[in-house]
Amino acid sequence: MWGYVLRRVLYMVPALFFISVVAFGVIKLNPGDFLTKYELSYPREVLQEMRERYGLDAPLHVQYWRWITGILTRLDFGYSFATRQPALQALFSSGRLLWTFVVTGVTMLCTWLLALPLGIYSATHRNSLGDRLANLLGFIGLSIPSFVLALVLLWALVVIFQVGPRYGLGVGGLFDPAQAEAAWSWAKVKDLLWHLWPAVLVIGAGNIASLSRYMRGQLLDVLDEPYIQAARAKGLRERLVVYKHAVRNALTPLVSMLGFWLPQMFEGTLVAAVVLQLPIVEGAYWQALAQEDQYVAMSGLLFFSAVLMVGSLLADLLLLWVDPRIRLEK
Amino acid sequence: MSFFARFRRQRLGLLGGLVLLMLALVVAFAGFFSPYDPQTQHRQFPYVPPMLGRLHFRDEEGFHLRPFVYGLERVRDPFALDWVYVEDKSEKYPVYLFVRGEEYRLLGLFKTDIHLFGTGTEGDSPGQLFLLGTDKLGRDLLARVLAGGQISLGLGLLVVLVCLVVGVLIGGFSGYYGGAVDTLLQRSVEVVMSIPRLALLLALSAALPPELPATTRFWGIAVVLALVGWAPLARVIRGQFLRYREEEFILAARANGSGSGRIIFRHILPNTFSYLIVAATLTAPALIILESILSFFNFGIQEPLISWGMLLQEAQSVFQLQFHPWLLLPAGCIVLVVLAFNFLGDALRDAVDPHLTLIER
Repeated sequence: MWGYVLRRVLYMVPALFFISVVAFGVIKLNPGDFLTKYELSYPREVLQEMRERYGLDAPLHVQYWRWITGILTRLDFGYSFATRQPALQALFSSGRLLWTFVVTGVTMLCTWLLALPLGIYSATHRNSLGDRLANLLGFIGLSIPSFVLALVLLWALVVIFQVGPRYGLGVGGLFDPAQAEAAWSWAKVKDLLWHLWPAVLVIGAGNIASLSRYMRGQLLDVLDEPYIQAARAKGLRERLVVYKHAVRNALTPLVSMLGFWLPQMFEGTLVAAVVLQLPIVEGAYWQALAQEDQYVAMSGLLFFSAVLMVGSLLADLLLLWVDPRIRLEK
Repeated sequence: MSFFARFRRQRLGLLGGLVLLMLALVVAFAGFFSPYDPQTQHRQFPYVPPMLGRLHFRDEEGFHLRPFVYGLERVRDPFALDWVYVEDKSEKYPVYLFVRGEEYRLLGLFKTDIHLFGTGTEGDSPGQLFLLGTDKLGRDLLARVLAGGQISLGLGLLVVLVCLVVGVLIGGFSGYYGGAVDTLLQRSVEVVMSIPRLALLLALSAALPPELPATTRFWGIAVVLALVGWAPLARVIRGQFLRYREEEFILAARANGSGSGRIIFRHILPNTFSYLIVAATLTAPALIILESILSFFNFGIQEPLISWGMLLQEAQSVFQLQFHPWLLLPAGCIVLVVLAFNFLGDALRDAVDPHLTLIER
């Protein structure tokens, strides 16, 4: 077990190194740099001096070497030109990192809480009207791109529920301007929840759909098993049969889906961050790209890849833990 | 049961295929189906709401079989202080079929000026017929949505084809030869796939210089999408090749003295066609969505080219959503296309092999 974990972690080292090269290369593909757009407003000598100071005039491999040694020796991910602070701070500061985990965690929780009952209902009421409806909704949930869903939600909030700037209620961000600076109170929590649910829906819709469909399929498979028949034959109530015998066994394979989830959730989070203006890391990454803030963008790419890798490792370990049938030895 | 017999039983899949076929036809003949050119600016008529409800069949003289529209007049709403459009009942413009209007190129080849419907050319009939409304410069949204479909659908299909070719070459050789090359390729594919797709895509398209002409940018976006999209397809194809290379008919072909190129392209590849088609059908909507996200974020297609994602840029602010909700219409087109592709892809997959999980979502 620990050998397996060690092997996976060791494998991550060359992978992350390779990714750092890709991230650096992709961002440096852009022929300009942050100073390019100032070329008209500042004299050439000033810009040249700036480039020398920040090492932007060095050959690419030298720049890469400086960047990667900075990370490895001093945890220095480079400098954010646009926000004038270290790149890591530009990505994580003002609570962005924390809010990223809050938003992601709440979304995951809501996904399970919504998708599992939906899947169980669909499986136990197979081919009923509710099942068909859930199936259709699932298909739509899988097919609607996250940014379209974000736009439609915004539209519904503004036009149907009549909230929005005109009515003194914000729909973007995580708090209303009035609450953002205030101390924590019930009103602030309520405000947060009100701003959170569109984000949760935008990020989670696809996963809610696929998870509930998957749950339905798994549960239907399990309900066909002989031991379920046996449980029914000995006179167990249907509720016990379903929840104690079937659902438990249907849940295990669902954990293996966690690995696929994370990348998909990331896309939704990025879109939600931009359209709903959430103060999370993905939003900072997008801004860095738009402003050609190179080191922040590189560090962002590296950070996201690392998080996804660790996430998929954790998902695999969780699967190992819940499903004792899986063996590591070849 | 044969593949086609199984596919024919999937009604939703058939419906999806039909919808896609019709959309492709309408979009290919965009100039014919829309009364105006997508670039023509009707400066006196910005933000006209959809006029579907303003097609009339009945006036004070009674019922007409030929629908007509009244003239549009732009007035200030005294309460909201917004501009609103009212009908000027003194002017009446009948809607004709196969009417002469602005010149365009049919399929990019033949110059013609015949449109399916319209109120005639601007010169002799100033009547306005914006069935789906207009944008801020008074450009007809119907024409823009259809023109946008050309790029959104066309780019998606083009990139899928490129991904398929690259995937067959790399996945095929990797699966057929195996060994060190295979391991190396698989490891690099794994690493590239562990970078989040959208983040990589945004970074790559941010690298396209902003001063590029729109058409060059279009090709750049196609390349960027292909760079991100080929890896999952290559994996599927590699798996198929691994499966077939041990089969007896391959052994027979080798005993016959066939070279590896012949075995790969003549013996194994045709066997994987059904899987390729399913994989392509399920990849296409993902690529269409990615393109529209890129264009929506202003990293993708740019004026004067039009795509659905780019059209939605205008609908990004709460203000626009509140006062000009018809600008959201391209979103409906994206959802329709993706839904149709998914129905079709699912049906094809069920017909090929119901237990197949090809593309990790």
